[in-house]
Amino acid sequence: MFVMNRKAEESKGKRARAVWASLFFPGTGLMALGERRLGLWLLIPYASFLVFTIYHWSSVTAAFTTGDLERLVAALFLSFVLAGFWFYSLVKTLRWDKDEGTGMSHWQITKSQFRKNKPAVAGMLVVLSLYAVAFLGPFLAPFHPNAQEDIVRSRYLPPLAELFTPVVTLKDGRRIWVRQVREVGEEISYVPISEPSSGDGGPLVPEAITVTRDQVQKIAKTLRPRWWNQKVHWLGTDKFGRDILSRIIYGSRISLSIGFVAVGIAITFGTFVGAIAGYYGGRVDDVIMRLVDMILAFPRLFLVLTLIALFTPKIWLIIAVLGATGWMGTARLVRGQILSLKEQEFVQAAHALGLSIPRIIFRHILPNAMAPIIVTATLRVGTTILVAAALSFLGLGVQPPTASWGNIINQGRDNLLGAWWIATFPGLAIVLTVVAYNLFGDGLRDALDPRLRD
Amino acid sequence: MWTYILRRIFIAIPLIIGLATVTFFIIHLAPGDPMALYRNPEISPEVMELMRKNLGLDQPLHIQYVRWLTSMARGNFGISFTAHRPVADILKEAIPNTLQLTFLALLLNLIAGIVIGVIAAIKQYSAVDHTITVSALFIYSMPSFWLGLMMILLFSLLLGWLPASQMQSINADLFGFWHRLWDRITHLIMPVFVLGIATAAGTARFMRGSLLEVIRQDYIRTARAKGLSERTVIFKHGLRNALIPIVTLTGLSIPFLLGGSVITETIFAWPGMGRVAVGAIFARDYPVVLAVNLIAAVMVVLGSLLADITYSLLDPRIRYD
Amino acid sequence: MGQLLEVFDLKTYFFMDEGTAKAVDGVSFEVDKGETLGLVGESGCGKSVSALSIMRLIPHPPGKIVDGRITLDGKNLLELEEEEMREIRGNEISMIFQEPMTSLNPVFTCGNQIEEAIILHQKVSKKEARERAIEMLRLVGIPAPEQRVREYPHQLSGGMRQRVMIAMALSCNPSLLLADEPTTALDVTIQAQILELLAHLQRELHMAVIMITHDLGVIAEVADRVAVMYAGKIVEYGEVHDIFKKPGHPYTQGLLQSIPKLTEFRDRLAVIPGIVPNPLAFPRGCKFHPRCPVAVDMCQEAEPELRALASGHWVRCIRA
Repeated sequence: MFVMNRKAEESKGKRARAVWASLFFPGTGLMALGERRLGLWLLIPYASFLVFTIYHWSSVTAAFTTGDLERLVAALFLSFVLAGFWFYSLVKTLRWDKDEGTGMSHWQITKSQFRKNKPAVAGMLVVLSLYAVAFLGPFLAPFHPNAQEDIVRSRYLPPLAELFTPVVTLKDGRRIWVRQVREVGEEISYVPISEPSSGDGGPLVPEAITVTRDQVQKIAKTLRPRWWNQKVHWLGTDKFGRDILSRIIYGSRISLSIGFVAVGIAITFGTFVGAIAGYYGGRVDDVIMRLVDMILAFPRLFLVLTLIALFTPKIWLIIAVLGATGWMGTARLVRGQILSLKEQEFVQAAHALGLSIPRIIFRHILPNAMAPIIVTATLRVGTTILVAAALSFLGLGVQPPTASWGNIINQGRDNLLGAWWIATFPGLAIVLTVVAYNLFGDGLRDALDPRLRD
Repeated sequence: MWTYILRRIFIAIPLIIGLATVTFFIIHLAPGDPMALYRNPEISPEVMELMRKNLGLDQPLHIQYVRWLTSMARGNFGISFTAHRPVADILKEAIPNTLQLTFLALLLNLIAGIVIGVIAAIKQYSAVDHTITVSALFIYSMPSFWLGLMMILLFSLLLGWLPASQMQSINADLFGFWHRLWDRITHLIMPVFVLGIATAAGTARFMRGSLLEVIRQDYIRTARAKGLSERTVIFKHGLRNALIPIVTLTGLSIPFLLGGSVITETIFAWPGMGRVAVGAIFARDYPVVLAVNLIAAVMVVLGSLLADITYSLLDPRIRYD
Repeated sequence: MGQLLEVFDLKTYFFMDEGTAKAVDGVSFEVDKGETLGLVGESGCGKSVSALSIMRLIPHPPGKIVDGRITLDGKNLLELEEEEMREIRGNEISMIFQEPMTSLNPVFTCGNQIEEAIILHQKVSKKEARERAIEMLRLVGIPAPEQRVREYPHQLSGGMRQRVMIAMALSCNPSLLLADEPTTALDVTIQAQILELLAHLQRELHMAVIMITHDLGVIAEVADRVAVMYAGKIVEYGEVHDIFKKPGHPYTQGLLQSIPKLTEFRDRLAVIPGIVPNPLAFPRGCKFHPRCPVAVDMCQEAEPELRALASGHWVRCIRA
């Protein structure tokens, strides 16, 4: 009895310490309790996000006061992620001994199956990081995606190029970025150019200013880049002097959101249509399935191009069209699932209980058909991103100057040999994204339902 | 078997008519007037009205539809708004070029896909198999337009081995037959590769799975128990069964190849249907857009019909039903 | 009658991620010319693996014959080159399987599949092979064989397909036929026909048969000798009438009691309690002891050896 009590007390104390640890450093509490893996999985991303926040502290706090929506979204994202990790880790620590297993649930089996599949886990992490990059774009991108700096000098810079721009102080104390135009003795003439971080392009007909040499050097020195200089064009610049890396980061938001939202629409609509066809059967089923056959007969790209060209290409239109041309496969899949589930006892029982038909479909049938729907959705995101990129490439996607991976590649065609980096890197970004999604989807498929393999 | 084929053909006919209807109404859902293309201070409103009449755009929608459907059945797709030529003539030049490209890509898809898939299956879990699986993943995750540009960069611009665009050299008409053939082949290599390689990767992956599935079957054990060599077991008893689902897959890949031809033809300036379609879409050239969509869809239907027939030839269980 | 096949101390293991499954662990038996040996046991006891080991058709990986000797007419099959072994498969030793529905290749005609073995082993022309195939089909009692030979497996019923399998197996006059549950998947009436056909053909062609089954009724009908297998080992071995009259091993007794008898009235059939042990984790000592009604403490300690109960009747049990 005594031993029991001491043991219980010991574990209580251990937990209390763990909760305190988790309060300050999410994950550490769990590690102290022996959940090393889970603890690390929480601690490492939390710590990275925290370091990121501290590093960009001034911009993050500024984002809440200035009216810049993009920065606000990024800052909110950061706050939510940090809060999320903190909260999850705390809850996990508090409930540490409560969810000790009473056997493996279906969900747990799926999770452990998925975890064993290393490529799939890697794919999932890459996908998550890509979305994080997309959200944090304004903080991560070294330049504004449309900033041109000093276009005369900044166009077609190769990867890893650095551009030092002199800065002069005007009489009213403003510091401006300049390009040298003339040098006579001690006096140098400059024209002002736009700051690299803003996208406004600078004054159209700049007025030259003249200053003495030592005036410039002094200021230029104070602005000399630090060793971790962010103002390196890691992936080079395009013909307008815009930083390719920044454009890829900003473009990721377009590509990733189009893929995700369009598939969401397609899956929802397809599930709805398939459920109706499968549940009602008969004439309704015939009509819907013939329509599906017909739409499937059109090569998707032809159909998408036609639909988009009929209207003016806007991002919501592209999403709508990709959604409208991608639902047929899901409809077929769901219809098949429902046809087989419809005959099973639990559905018959629901009928016997007098439940309404929508309730039967949405509460009792669909949840059982969810696994293959989720799997196809994940695998579909990859192909949808490819189609969206193809549209942008053809000039029917998001319109310049807004960056998207497809239209950056398209602009790279102008000078393929001279500036290979423009077309190369966004393509690699697409490959990375689609590969990650495919690995993730394959892993989900294997974990959720091995029968779905090939 | 004949009843099966006939049944498939009878299903295809209403499908094609349905396709025509869908195309027509999709196009006419759109806002925007094709005549806007001609709006120009130098053309008087009266002339515009006359042109509108000549092009049949003044008629109510259902009349336009019936007219279009009947003339389409006669192979008359109307006059292009921009080229001022019969659409049929434009397509007559473009379709053979596209078919040449897609047919060769389909061949690449089948040959490369099957051979690579079989190798991966035979060497299951070996380094070769892993390499093939990983490369296949990367290849079908790759945007074809990007692959095309990278190939042009490497093989045309840097190495100068292959021509970057067009179907033939400018002075090809002056070449002798063999020289011209060689010229055409060099122009074909990159477009065919770019168009076919993604589906080939998919086919290889599928072929591997299919053959591995078949090798687990009881009749493979029977074949081994007969004393047949491993080669005969796999290539005669295994492959023949594993190929059956590949036929369906090939039928399904036709829309992808035709869709892909839009991209490939644009990159390599290949004068085919895809390029015609892109041009027409930008110019709002309705008759051309309609015709291209319809023809592509009909090709898809015919392709899957062909796949079904091949399937029935390969699988005696259908042949004798 | 002379000895045809001797299996001595055969060990076939499956090496898997979860551990090593000793599917067959030191099995020995012999088959005389023209004789029928019955191999009995529950599913998973290693009887099919023994048969596949004789054919050397164990899927590798994960399976491997790790030890033992299989002698057919004086030559050790385990020492043959793969090529020499192919000469024996389908020629000297044939095998028929449980599932006639899936054991024939759906894309080739029945005739084609029979001829394949004939052409391979007898080096005859296509035409002769076709004649021989028709003859074989007639022999196994398929009506209108000239027509059937051109048909595909899906056009035949299950019983007919099993007859085709038998025709295929016997087409090269094997001296040994391995029949792996040849009647399990068939209707009861068809089962009897197929068994009768096998017995008839065995007499006609003077071949030995190893009949693998879980059904002691089948054994009683066809076998001369019986080997009862449990968890990868033979637990009882002897003449069929000895084993049916005086079963020594509690497992054999259990099996016999679970056969319904018309002459006896019982409320319910006797069953052997428990389940077949997991091959990755066999119990210590006698592998049957957790299910054994007469087990004593000693049974948990060491696995008993096979010992002679009477002349030619061997049992692996200390209580028998």
